[in-house]
Amino acid sequence: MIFYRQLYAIIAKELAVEWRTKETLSAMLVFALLVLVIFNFAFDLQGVDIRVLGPGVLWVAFSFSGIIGLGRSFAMERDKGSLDGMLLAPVDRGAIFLGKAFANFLFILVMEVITLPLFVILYNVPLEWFPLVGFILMGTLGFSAVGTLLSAIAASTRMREVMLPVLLFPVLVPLLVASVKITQGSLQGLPFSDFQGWFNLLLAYDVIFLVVAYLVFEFVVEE
Amino acid sequence: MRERGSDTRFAIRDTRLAICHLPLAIRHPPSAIRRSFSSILIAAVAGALFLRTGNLKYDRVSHACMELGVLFGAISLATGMIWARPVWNTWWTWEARLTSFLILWLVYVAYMMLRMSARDDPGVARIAAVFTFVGAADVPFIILAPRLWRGLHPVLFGTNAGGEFTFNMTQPMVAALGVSITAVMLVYFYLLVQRTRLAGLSSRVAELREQYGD
Repeated sequence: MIFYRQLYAIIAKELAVEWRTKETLSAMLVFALLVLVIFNFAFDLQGVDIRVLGPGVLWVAFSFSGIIGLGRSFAMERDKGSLDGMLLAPVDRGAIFLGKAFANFLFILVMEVITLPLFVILYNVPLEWFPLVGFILMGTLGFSAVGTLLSAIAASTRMREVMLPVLLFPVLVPLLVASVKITQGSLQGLPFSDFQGWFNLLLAYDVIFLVVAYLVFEFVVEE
Repeated sequence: MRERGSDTRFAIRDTRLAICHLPLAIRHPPSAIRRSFSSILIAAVAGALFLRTGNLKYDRVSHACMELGVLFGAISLATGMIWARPVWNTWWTWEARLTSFLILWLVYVAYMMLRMSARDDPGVARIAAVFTFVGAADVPFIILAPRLWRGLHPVLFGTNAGGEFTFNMTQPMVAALGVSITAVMLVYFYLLVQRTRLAGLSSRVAELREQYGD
């Protein structure tokens, strides 16, 4: 019970900080929009089948922009020394991790909720909303779990902003490939069985990395 | 005539290269998936021992494993490309095993970057150990994800389409491969021991420097 109260307090704190500054979210949104625009020029996506190439564009936008938010998540705590405060408080380390990860999940989700319609409008994508949104939620869950852990790791090195993408992307490749394939499948209206392998992979990724990150997080922040 | 002669020599050289390449690659899982044990798994085990005991010796082993992962991975990638050029007529192809291997190699490189960026910080051993766990947990996914695509890596041993065990190598090839695998394994462990010892010595030197000045 006390664990949930701690978890709630951490999430509430994260949301309050973001609500007052709105820095991270606005940076993520602008960045995601920029990625969409740049891809249009880089690949000249007029006339190609957007249901094949589009998912790649979408997930690059999601992951690049998500990394900005994740990087801020712990760099901010280190800058102000507030991480020490949080660690001194009698709070379970697991609650800190889950709280942070859930807050990051929400921030990335808000970014995606705004970016997805922009993607649909800018690229003229015919879209079935219902299953796709569920798949995106799943991809985002694994992304924020690994991302939060590696953000904590990156924040305790000297070159934080540079380190996070270097550490995160190699680990993230399977998740991104699976997400892109699933998104492709559902944009093209293929039956679920055609991409069920990818779906299972994504599900396993989410579960394993949530558990691993939850278990090892305390070693990252311990001083 | 001349043509054929050069072809044969070509073939012999390619086989030799393959025999050099294979054991190097086997040191790491994706190219020899279930049959091998890998640097990153040893590194993760050593990392776990370090977190449990706080003994820096294990951290040095873990670090050395990851470093050797970068080295052996780079050699496998290079020899693989040199072999693939004449045989597959391309330097690189996004085939399942190659792709897995490249991604795993990038994980090793990321680890080295992490170590470099926090050279003097004593806490780096702890976060580095955590990163080896993340990397090790990622190994099955790195293997599976590109495999869902399929490709053209030569399957020398393993199961064929009918599920039977196949072994497409001649007797001398097997012998050469066996010697080669053993040799590379011994080199690997030799380097691992020496690298660990060297790291121990250099931290001892740093300690003494601190104690007595330069």
